[in-house]
Amino acid sequence: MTKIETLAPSSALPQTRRGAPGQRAPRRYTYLPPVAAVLGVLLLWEAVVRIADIREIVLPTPTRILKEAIANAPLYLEASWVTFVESVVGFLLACVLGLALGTAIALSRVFSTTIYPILVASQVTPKVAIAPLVIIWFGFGASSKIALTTLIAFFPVVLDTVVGLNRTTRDGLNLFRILGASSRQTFWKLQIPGALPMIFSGIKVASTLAVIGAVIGEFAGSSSGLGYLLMVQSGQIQTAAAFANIFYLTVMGMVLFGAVVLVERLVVPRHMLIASEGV
Amino acid sequence: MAEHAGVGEGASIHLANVAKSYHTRAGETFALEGVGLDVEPNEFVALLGPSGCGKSTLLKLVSGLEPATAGSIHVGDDLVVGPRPDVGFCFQRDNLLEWRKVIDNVLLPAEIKGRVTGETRQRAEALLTQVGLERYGSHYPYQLSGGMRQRAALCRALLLDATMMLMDEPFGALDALSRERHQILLQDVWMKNRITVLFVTHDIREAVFLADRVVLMSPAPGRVSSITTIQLPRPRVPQVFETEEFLAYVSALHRELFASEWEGANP
Repeated sequence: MTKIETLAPSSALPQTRRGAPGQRAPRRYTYLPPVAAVLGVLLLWEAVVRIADIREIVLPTPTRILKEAIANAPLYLEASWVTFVESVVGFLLACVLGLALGTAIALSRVFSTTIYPILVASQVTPKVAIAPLVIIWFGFGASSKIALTTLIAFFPVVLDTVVGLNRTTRDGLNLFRILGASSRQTFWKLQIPGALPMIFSGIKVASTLAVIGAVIGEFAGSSSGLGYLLMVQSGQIQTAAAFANIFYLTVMGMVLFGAVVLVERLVVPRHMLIASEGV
Repeated sequence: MAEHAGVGEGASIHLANVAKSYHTRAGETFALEGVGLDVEPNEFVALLGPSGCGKSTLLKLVSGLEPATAGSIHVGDDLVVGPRPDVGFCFQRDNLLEWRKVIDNVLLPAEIKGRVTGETRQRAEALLTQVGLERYGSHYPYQLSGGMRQRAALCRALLLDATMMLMDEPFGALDALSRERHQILLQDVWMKNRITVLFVTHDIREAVFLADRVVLMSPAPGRVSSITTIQLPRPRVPQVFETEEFLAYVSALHRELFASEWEGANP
């Protein structure tokens, strides 16, 4: 027994090999540069517009945009809610559809060769071109926006699910066979956990595409939402209002993205994250 | 820890005229041909040979992962027809699941069998203690060195009363020093847990140090070319590496290995 006990401390010092969790750079250093950069850009923008005396309908100042955003907050919040619900529902459907298709493609060769050409064709077709058709099929209401959002957002989830599930090694599969695991156990205990980091990187992309999908849908035909409002405002050359609108869209996109990152943090161990820093 | 920690009895292995071939574009290629071998219960047998001699293939056949093309393989009285629950397999790469803590990796076999009990937990912890990892149960694999990872994989293979351990160059990726340490540790684990070990390696010293018998294999197609009984007393200590008997075994096998390689190169 003595021989074995001398073995542990000398063979490795894991705490110092790779930074243990918790040994990351202090937060203020990671958040300070981006905040400073954003503030810098806004300041520069304000200064240029004021000094060059650019007309407001061409480019309003950030302070003017902020004033508009606050003054008409109820209007924007109401429109945001419409677009947000469309984006989130479409996004969730995209995740479900993407995971299902990706799993089927990864597990079945027949399915994969059958569906792949259709899938690729559906993706190289510009979604904006399909938008009017979707409006014809699903109407002016939220369902057409949700359909378009799903259509735009599901593809990265499919791709990354396939890639993630295919990362399972032959040795891993052999291990599970030797342990007498059922194919269901192999799927849930080996393939899915190994694929999760990839799947989440697809879901993150999908979350950013979701907002785009909803806005395109509203552009194509609707009577509410930020996209609809934006069409009205730019039609009337209310530039500051359009900017305020875009500001709300941006915040909304970040909320959605942030929520996905939060779920990822809960589900995927930190050392397995694909982009382990920041995003 | 009690000296009689072993639970069951090691299994015997009987290979009779085993062949394995693969269909390639060039036709049928034999990885193994006419392999016969009898391994006693609780015996430690090393399979030694150059790469391409089919030693890893042989392990896959014994484990039931792949079917033999011809011949028969028995473990105890049972004909091997598929993966068996009483076989522990240690891969070249440790194959730990990165998203599971060390203890949960060790418990994986019990989890798959649906019997994670207080008893299996205790056994998992006892095994980790046996290999000097008692303080690393709640670490993730990435926080461990290569040798520690292999030891955790060894615990996983031993969790469910394995009667037989199949090891495919488990220490191949370790540096020379920790390799010797792990050989001594493996001997210790083997003597405590009564199991039969089939150990694939291309390191002659490792084979002689660990094994009761060294089976030398020749390539293309893989065959048993000789079997050497190693009569060094147990437990073998690091000083064994310097003894004349040890060196005599090593140089005899070395000579034979190269002779068979020459034959293989110029048929």
